[in-house]
Amino acid sequence: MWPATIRGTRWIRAELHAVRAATLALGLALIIGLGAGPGPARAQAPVSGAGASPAAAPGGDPAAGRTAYAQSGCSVCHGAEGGGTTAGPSLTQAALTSDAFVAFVRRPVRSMPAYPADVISDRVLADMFAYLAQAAAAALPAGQATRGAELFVATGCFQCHANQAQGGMHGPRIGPDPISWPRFAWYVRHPSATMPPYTEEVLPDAALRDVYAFLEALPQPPDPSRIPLLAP
Amino acid sequence: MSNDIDQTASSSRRRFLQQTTLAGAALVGAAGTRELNAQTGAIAGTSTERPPTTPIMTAAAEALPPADVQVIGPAERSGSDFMVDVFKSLDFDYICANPGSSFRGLHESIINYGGNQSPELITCCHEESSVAMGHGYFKVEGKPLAVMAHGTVGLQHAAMALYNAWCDRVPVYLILGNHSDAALRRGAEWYHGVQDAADMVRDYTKWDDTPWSLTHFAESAVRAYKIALTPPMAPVVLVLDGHLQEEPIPRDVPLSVPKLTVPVPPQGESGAVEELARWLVEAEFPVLVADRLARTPAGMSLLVELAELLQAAVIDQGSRLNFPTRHPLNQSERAGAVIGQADLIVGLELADFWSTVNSLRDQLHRSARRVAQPSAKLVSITTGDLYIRANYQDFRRMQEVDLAIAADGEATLPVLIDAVRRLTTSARGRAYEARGAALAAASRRAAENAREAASYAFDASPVSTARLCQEIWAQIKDEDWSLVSSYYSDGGGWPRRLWNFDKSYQWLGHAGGGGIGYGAPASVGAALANRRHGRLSVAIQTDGDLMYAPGVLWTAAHHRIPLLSVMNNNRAYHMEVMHVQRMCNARNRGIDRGRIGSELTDPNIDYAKVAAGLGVYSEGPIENPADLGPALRRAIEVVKRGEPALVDVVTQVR
Repeated sequence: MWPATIRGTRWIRAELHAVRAATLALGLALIIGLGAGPGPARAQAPVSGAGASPAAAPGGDPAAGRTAYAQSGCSVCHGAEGGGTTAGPSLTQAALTSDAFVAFVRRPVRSMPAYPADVISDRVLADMFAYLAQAAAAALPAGQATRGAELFVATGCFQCHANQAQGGMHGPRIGPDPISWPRFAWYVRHPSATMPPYTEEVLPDAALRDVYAFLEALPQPPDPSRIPLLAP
Repeated sequence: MSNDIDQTASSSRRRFLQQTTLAGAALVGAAGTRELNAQTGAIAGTSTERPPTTPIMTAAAEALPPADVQVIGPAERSGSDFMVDVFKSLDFDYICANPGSSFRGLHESIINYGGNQSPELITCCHEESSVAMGHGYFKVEGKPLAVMAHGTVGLQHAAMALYNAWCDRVPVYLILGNHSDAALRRGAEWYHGVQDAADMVRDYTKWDDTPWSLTHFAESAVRAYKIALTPPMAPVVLVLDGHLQEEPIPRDVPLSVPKLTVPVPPQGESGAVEELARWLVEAEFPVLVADRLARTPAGMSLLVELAELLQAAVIDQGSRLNFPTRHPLNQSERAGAVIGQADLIVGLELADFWSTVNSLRDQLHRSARRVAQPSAKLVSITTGDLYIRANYQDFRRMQEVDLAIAADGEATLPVLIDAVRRLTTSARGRAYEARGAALAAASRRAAENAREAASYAFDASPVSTARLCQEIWAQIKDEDWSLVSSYYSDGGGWPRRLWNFDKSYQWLGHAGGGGIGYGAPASVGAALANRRHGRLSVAIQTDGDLMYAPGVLWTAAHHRIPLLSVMNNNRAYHMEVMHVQRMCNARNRGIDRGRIGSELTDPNIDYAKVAAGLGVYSEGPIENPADLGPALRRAIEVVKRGEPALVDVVTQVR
């Protein structure tokens, strides 16, 4: 809800946006950072690993995007370089296509204020997206699946997600075909349901990337239609 | 279990009658009082003049030796023989107990005077097992078991299981021995005697009494049964004084056994039912949510009838088997989706309506949000509105509703169905059909998703819980089977996603109060009920649960109770590990030590050896899923011969 102190005041648009976004950051985080969450069904198009996010912006200028990002008030919630704050998720990890990015900015769900084309043009958004994609690529660490398998047990992931990450009553399946690395990394730090949050202090980024590599390396299951014990 | 140190083991019984006649007659006058024992007045009720049966005497008189030592006279019988007459009138099949001196009189009457039949005494190794057996038995048979427990210590052992039954609204008939008269207590009876024996469990029992006479007993015994069986059902306690059990009474005393008439459960008020029917007919997307609805097998049939009439979504929350798992309108697998879509939600005997339409986020800062649409109408039909207690909080958070019908859900469904049928127009009927078709398609997709989810880690070792369940299903699906275990585990959760449940005895819900240790004895109790019907009872038995009171396996072996127990042995109390992990992370300390205090390793427990030592056929531990099918087949052969068997399977945590 709106803070009582700003109700009825005549703030300029940018300030208004910043305050609303900072105040209502949770809903924004859910939308951009998490998307639909880790979906269990393979029927969904699997979101591939870190390399695919954000999708390349056609024709965007990263340098111009950096300037536009700094001048448009995005940093109030999403950090000076798009890395996220407690008020808003990282945009360098947001696994959106450029079209989805633009669509969200134009018609955000929940708390983020809408930015129509007369405030930020498609051209500027394309530049911003190019800037954020560049930052995402630079932030991608490499992981070791073997080490990740050990960490998956040692850090207790298996308690809810089961030994092979296949999921159960207390946690969804998270591998193979994990959600994208940016969404995964965001969620581990900012879980929205009953999962305990893992800070970098107790699970560093490098270790988390190892866990992710383990999830990526998990074998595909047999086709259920070929398992007699699973016949309807 | 009694720690009785009775040192008066004599095959004969003191004949108090003549003694107390003389002493009492003398002392009433000497004491200058005209008090009469309540028991005497109640028993007599005739022209037979009897003195107080509880000795009233001076210390000098107490020191007098009896005139002789004899057994009970030919014209006499014991009070506990009459008690057995009453219990037989209540048609108890079994009475579970481990022995205790405070009910030795009744114990002897059951096995000798009663012929150890109806009720037959079932030897247990823990009072918690006795009560939980009664809990499981009722869920199959719809009849309560009687349980005997010894004074203070027996009830203290029984208390947790009694609380489970209370929370699950299941009747257990608990008979408690106690020596009320301090002048007559032997040494151990001072530890086991109490002024108000039922006080300890009064907050989670529906009624109790401590009869002072045999007439009082007979009325209270029948009254307790009626109260226990009237929805909302719950445990009751009857405290039987040791002296009342043991004292001889003349055979010709005209004691009567009151007639039992169990009250008819209350049906919803007609105007409210009519209003609900109108809402159901008008709703675009009504959802029927059932939890403890099906008191009897008819409950499921009625819910199917109502759902099919409306082509409405049904969510079975699973405290009973309320709806067939493979019915196309069963949307339990996608409960969140249909709750979010609903414009009318009807809660049928819900234990927790609030959590049905709200979500609680268990983080450092706890927050909640409504998951149902703000405009959705909510209706409850429950006997929970008829009876509530203050201290224990099992009534859950209060949910605001638009219409609350304080009545029994199952008893109300027939009139609700009639009203809906009467109000449904042909136009609404066509809308129902379109709704039903969409739900059926969603149900098929959910079933496919469940099978696909089960395929992950299907060949892994330790064995996945989905594989465990499907190996069992392959062996039992063509039998008349009954899954008698609780489902506080993933091993217990898979069957409802993958198996075909369409008979009420195939699924028995859970412990009610969440008290671990319920699963094993409740399974044995349910298997005892299934035995007479020739059903194949199967339990997916969690390791932590079995370790509370594994002696119940011996009870199953001793009484030839056929039960296949398949261990879901994940070597920890994993539910609790998760909680500790949350705390570790909330305090930013890392979770590498989070398993301390919750794991059951070093040494690993060999459940096959435990079972073998208790006289139960066993196999395992099995870690390779390929070994599981043959082991189950061998174990089922044993069970079909009328004995219990256990297969220990080392499983994944989920």
